[in-house]
Amino acid sequence: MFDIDLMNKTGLQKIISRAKIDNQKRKNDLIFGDLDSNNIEDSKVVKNENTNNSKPSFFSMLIATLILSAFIIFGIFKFKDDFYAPNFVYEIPNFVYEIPNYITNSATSNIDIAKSLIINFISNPDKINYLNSINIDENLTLKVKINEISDLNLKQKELQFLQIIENEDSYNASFNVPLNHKVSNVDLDILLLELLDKYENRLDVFLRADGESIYFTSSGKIIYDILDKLIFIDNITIIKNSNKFFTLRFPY
Amino acid sequence: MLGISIYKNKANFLRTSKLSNNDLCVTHHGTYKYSDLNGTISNSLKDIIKNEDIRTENSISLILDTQFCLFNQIFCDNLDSLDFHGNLSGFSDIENLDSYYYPMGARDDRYLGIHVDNKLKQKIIDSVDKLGFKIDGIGLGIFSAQKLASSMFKAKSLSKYAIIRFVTSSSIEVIYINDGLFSLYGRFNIVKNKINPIKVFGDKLSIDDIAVTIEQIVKGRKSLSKIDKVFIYQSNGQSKLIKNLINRKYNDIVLLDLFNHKNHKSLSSNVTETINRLSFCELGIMFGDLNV
Repeated sequence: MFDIDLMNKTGLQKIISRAKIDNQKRKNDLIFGDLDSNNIEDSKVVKNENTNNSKPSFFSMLIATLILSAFIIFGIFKFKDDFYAPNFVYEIPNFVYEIPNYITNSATSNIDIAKSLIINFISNPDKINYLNSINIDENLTLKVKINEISDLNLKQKELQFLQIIENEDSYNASFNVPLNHKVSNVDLDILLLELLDKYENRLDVFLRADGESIYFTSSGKIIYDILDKLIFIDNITIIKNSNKFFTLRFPY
Repeated sequence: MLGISIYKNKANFLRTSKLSNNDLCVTHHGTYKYSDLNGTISNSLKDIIKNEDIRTENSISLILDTQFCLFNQIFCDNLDSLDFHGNLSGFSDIENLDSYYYPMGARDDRYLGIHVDNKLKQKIIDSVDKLGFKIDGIGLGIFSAQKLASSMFKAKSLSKYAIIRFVTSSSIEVIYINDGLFSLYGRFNIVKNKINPIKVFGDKLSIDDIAVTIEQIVKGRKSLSKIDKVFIYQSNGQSKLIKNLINRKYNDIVLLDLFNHKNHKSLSSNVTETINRLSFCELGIMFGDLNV
C-alpha cells in the first residue's frame, strides 16, 4: 500500500510500499496523556499491558515443576541414547532403556529421520539422481519418492520407513514418514511475509505465485531452509528441476 | 508532531510526542468547528496553536477529506499517455486540478486517479505558511485511516482487509487491500439495507468481495466470508450500524477507535463519545511507523 502525499509532484505515483514486519523491532506503546503535566498515569491512559508484577501462584509453581521434571527425564533418555555403552548397563535401571525404545518410534524421532532424508535427497549428488519428488501431505506424512533403491546406503532407522513398490512407472520406492506434529497456531501471513522479505531480492531464488500456491525455486540448501520453516503447517511438494535446482510448492 | 484533518465545517487535531523509549504519547487532541470551509482553512491551525498553547512545533501533517477530491480510474502504460487519458475522462477540461495516479491491484497499468483543486490546496498551504509552519505532507482521509489500521490494529499481517468509512449514516466509502496491494476504491449508498454502488474502481473480483462483505455487515453478520477483516469508522453523524458495533466484540469487524485500540469496554461506555472519537482515525498517518 502506498503513502498519499498531495505535496508530491503530480502525475503517476509509482512508489509502492508493501507492508513489512520486523519482528525484531521492539514493540512500542501508545499513551494518551499530557506530557507537560508529568501526570500521565493519572490521565486517561491506555497502555500496553505487557508486564505482570504479581507473585507466582502455587498452581503456576506446580506447573513449572512438572515441566522441569519432564525436561530432566527427557534429558536422561537423550543421555542414554548418545552414550549407550556396556559399562553403563549396570548403572542405569532397566526401565530407562525400555521407555526410549518406545520414544524411538515417536514423532520427535520421525522428524529427525524425515529431515535427514530430505537433506540427503536434495544435497547429496548421488542421491539427487534417485529422487523423483518429496511431498508432505495434509496429514503431514512425508513421502520421498525415488526411482532407485540400490546403493542408497540407508541407516537402520530410515529403512523402517522404506516401502518398495513393484511395477510402478513413476517411482520404485518411497519413504513414508508420519511427522505427527501439525502446528496450527502459527501466523502463516507473517511467516510467508518473512520468507518473501528474505528471498524476494535474492538472485539465486526464483519466486512465483498463482491463485493457489506460492513457488520457490532454488538450490537444495535454500529449499531445505524454506521447507524447515513451513514443514509443520500444510502440504508441501518439492520437485527436482535439475540435479542442482528444486521447486518447492506451498499452497496458499 | 502536530496533525490536522480538515473537513468542510470542522478540523480535528492531534499532537503527539515521542518518548525517549520510542513510545508515542498523544498529548493533545480535539475538534474545532467552523461555519464553512474557508473558515476551517483560515482559522483552524491558528486557533489550535493559540488555544492549545503549542509552542515547540514548527511542522504539521495535514489530512484532507476525500470529499474535496474527484476520483477516476485509468489504464496507462507510460507518462506520455496521461494527457490522452485526461482528455478521454474529461478531467483535462476542468481547470485547476492537480492529478495524482496511484497503482491499483496486481496489473501494472491500472491506476486510481485522485484529482484535487489546486486553488484549494494552495489556500491551505498559504494559511500554514503564514503562521511560519512547514507542511510535512498532505494525506487523504480514508487512506490515512488505513495507515492506522495497518500500524495499530495489525492489519499489515492480514491478507485481505477493507477500511469502511461511514461518510453519513447512509453513505459509505471503502478501500480494499488485497495481498498488501491497494485493490479497490468505492462509494456506496445504503438504502433500507440495500447497497447501491455510486462509484467503484477496481477489478471485478475485488468488487465482488466488497459487495458481499458490505451486504454481510449490513445484515449484521458477525463474521465475514470473503475477506479477513473490516475496519470501520464514521466521520460524521451516528450510524445505527456503528452504534451496534460499540461494546460488542466481533472477530472480523473492528472499530477504528484510535483511543481504544485494545477495545477496552470501560472506554466504550458512552456511544456518542465513542463515535466522535472515530473520526480521529483519519489522522492515522501520524502513527504509520508505530509498531504496537
